[in-house]
Amino acid sequence: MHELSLAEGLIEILTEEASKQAYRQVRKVVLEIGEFSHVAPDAMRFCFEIAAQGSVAEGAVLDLTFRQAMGECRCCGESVVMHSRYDACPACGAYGIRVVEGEDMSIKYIEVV
Amino acid sequence: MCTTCGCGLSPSHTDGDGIAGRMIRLERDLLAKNDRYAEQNRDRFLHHKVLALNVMSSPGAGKTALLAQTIRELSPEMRIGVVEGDQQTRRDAQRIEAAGALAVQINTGKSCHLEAQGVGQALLQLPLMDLDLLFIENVGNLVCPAGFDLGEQYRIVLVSVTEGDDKPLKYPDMFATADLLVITKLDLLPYVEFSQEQCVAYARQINPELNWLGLSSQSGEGMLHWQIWLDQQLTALRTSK
Ligand SMILES: Nc1nc2c(ncn2[C@@H]2O[C@H](COP(=O)(O)OP(=O)(O)O)[C@@H](O)[C@H]2O)c(=O)[nH]1
Ligand SMILES: [Mg+2]
Ligand SMILES: [Zn+2]
Ligand SMILES: [Zn+2]
Repeated sequence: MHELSLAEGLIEILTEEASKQAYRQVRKVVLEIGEFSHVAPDAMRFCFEIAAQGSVAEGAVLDLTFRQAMGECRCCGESVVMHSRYDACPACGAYGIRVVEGEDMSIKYIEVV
Repeated sequence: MCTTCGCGLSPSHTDGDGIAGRMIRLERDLLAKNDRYAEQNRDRFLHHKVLALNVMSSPGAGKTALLAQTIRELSPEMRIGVVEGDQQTRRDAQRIEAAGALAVQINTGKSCHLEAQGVGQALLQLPLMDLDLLFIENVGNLVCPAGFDLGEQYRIVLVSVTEGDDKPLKYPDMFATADLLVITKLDLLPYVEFSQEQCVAYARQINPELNWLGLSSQSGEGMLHWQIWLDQQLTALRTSK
């Protein structure tokens, strides 16, 4: 499953940060997911729980927040809130809006002890 | 709002054990690790002047058939290697070897896409310095392979005429980042309802600069255009500094 490898990557980062930031345990992870990233929230929570076992993040709460996809029209430069990749620009009608935001997945905050 | 740092994320930074937790702002991208490995792969391809192509499609669109036919037509003059990604078996690698090229199989197990690190490991088993062209056949899946850079120079997405010409609208992510759309199995056009123009129009709704060509690896129709496209990219790579 796709989310398992993402969750394992997430745990790797948390483990790495544990020595840099001197914490023993992660209680909560706030993960921001772009609307156009390839993450199913339920699968991600499930995989996180499994991947976290035996790590600094065992038992931690995974808090998922979504980030709206934003694009820029190649034709007129308008900033556009995107609902799908094939929408036309609301300002000029051109297709092929370039995605500027909403493809990433990033850890925003962690709560640690 | 959180009383410790005002972050608004948690009412209090104390847990059941009463010990106050602290909030740390991180800003770390989950795909950063993949991107680092992809960069390493890209450097290796450029160093050896190997044209690396990430070939993606739904299962059964004809990726392996196209690669095998390309190998039969172009090797040994063109030295071709293939990294094969499938969840199970070495079957496709065997088809590639039978056609006359070197193949390394990555079995992704339960994973639905290739990642740069796995490709990097597979590259160790190929003599990159002796290759002109490297095909990376991704796992048959039109969704998430689009999200993982493998270090390739170009992304190729295949759609077979039996899949319907509205595939680009149903799976837009793949078409957004593709460099070339290849419509396959043209020999089957008489039997199905599929408009190449419509398929391309939908794909360009997502990616206006997308190049495309149509072919059949069975009948050979369109294979010349495909070869010309490959030649152009190889020439461009060799004449780059
Ligand atoms: N008629 C026809 N069948 C094809 C063509 N290319 C592939 N196929 C068939 O489609 C099926 C899947 O092909 P394969 O190359 O394994 O697809 P992959 O999963 O994308 O690698 C096989 O049965 C092939 O023989 C083609 O150009 N014409
Ligand atoms: Mg195949
Ligand atoms: Zn516009
Ligand atoms: Zn995947």
